[in-house]
Amino acid sequence: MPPFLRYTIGIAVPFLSVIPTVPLLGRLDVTVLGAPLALIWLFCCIPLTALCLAIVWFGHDSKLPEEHIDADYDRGGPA
Amino acid sequence: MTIAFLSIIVLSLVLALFSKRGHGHQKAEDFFVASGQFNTVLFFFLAVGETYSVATILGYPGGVYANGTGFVTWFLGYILLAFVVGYFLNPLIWRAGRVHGAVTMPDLFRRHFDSRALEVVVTCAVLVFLVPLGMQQFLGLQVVLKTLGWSISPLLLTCLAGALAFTYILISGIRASAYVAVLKDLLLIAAILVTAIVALQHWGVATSAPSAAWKHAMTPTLKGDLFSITTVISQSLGFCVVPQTCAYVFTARSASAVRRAQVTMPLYMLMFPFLTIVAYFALLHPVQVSSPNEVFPAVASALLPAPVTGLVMAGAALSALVVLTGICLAIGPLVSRNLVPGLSNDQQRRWSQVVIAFYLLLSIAGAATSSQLLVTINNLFYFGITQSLPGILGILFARRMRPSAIIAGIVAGDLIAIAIFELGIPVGGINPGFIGLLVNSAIVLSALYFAPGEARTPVAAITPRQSASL
Repeated sequence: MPPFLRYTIGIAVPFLSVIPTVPLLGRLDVTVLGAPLALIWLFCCIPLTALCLAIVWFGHDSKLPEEHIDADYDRGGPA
Repeated sequence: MTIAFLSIIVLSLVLALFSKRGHGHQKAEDFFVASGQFNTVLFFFLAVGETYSVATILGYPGGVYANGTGFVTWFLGYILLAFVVGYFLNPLIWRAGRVHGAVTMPDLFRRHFDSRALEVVVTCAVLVFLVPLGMQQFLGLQVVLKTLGWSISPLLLTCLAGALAFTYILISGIRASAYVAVLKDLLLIAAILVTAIVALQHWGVATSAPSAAWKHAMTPTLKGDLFSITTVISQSLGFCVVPQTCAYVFTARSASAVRRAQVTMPLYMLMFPFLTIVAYFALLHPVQVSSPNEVFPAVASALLPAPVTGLVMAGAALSALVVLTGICLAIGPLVSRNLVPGLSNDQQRRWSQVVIAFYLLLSIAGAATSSQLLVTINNLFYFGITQSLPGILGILFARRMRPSAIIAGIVAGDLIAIAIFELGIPVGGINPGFIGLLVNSAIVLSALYFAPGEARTPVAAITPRQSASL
C-alpha cells in the first residue's frame, strides 16, 4: 500500500468523517429514530474508523518487520 | 446490592494478587511499565481502561443530559480520532521509549535532548495538570458510593477507596492495574448494556420533555461548532502525550502489539450509543436526578434489581479506581525519577509510593471541597497536557529542534490557555488549549527554521534494523 493511500485511509477519512461533517450535519433538522442525524452519523463513524485502521493494518503495517530493542531503563533517569 | 458490590471489590483484590505471580521483587521499570512485557490483550485493556474513566460512565450521560448533542460531537469525536492518531504515533513513541530506556514521558526529553532543564519543565507542566485528574476520579467515586446508600460519611468512604487504590499499587504496580482493568472493562460493558437495554424496555411513552434550556443548547451555533472542532483536534492530538498513555505504551511488548490494539480500540466505543440511550431516558422520563453527573446511577437504581445495581456500581467504582492507579503510577516516577535526581532503582520505587500516598490524600481533600462538573476537569487537563505535543513530535521527526524552544513553547502555551480560561477572554468559542497549542507550535517551528539546534537523529528515522543494534 503506497504511503499516500495509507495516510488517506488511516487519517484523512476518519478525520473528515468527524470534522467538519458532524457539525455540518448538526445544522440539518433531520432525525433518524428520534435522534439527530449528526448523532447517528457520529455513531456510524465508530465502525468506519475501525475499518479504516484495519485496512491500513492488514494492507501494510502487519507486513512490517518486528522491532527488537532492549531498553536500558537505568539510563533513563537523571544522572 | 452491598454484597454484590463488595464481592466485585474482593475479586479485584484477588486479581491484583494474581498479577504479582512470578514477579516477586519488582524493579522500578517492572513496577511502572511492566518491563515492556505486556502483550496486545493486556495493553489493550490497560489503554482502553484509561479511556473509559469515571468521566465516561458518569460524565458522558451527564453531559448529554445537561448540554445535548453538541457536547457529544467533541466528546466522542476526540476519543475516536485519538485512536487514529495513536495508531500512527504510539508505535513511534514505543520505539522512542525503548531506545531511550524511558519509564516516563520526561525521560524521553531528557535522553533525546540531553537537557535536564527541559526534563524538569516538562515534568512540572505535566504534574500541575495531572493533580486535578485524581480529584475527578474521587468526585466520580463519591457519586457512585452515594448510590449505594450506606450510612457512612462520604469522606470516610472516599478515604477507603483511596486506600484500595493504594493497595492495588503496592501489590504489583502497573501489573495489578492491568489485571483489574480487565475485570473493570468486562463489568463496565455489561453494566452499560444492561442499563440501556432495560431503559429501552421501560421506554413506553415519554412522560416528560427536555427543558427549554436543553433545547436551546441543542441549537447549533458557530461558537459551539468552533469549540467542537478545535477541541476535537487539540484533544485527539493531545491524547497521545498524556503521561499515563505514554506509560501504557511503554508497557507493550512490541510496536505491532501497540498497532493491533489500536485497530480494535474504536470498536470499544460502541458502548456510547447505549450511554446516550440512558441519558435520553433520564431526559424524557421522570427520573430523580439531583445533578447531571448522577444520571447513570439514578437510571440504573431506578430500573434494575438491587443486586444488579450493586454490580453496575462496582463497575463504575472500578473504572475510577483503575484510572486513579494509572494516574498515581504516572505521578510517582515523575517525582522520584524526573524531579529528584540521583535515586537508585529501588529508591525510585519506594519514594514513588510515598509520593502516591501523598497525592491520593491531596486528591481526596480536593474532591471534598469541589463539585465541578466532571467534564470541565477533563478539558482543563487537556489544555495543559497537550502542550507537550510539539516537543514529542520533535523527538519523533525533527533533526534540529532546540530544547530551549520547547521550554518556551510549553510555558507560553500553558500560560495562554490558562489565562483565556480563567479570565474568560472571548475567543469566539475556540478551545483555549488549541490557541495555546498554536502559539506553542509557532514558537517551536520558528526556532527550528530561524535558529536550528544541534543535529540529532529523530526516532522515526531509526529503522528497525538500526534499532535492533542499539
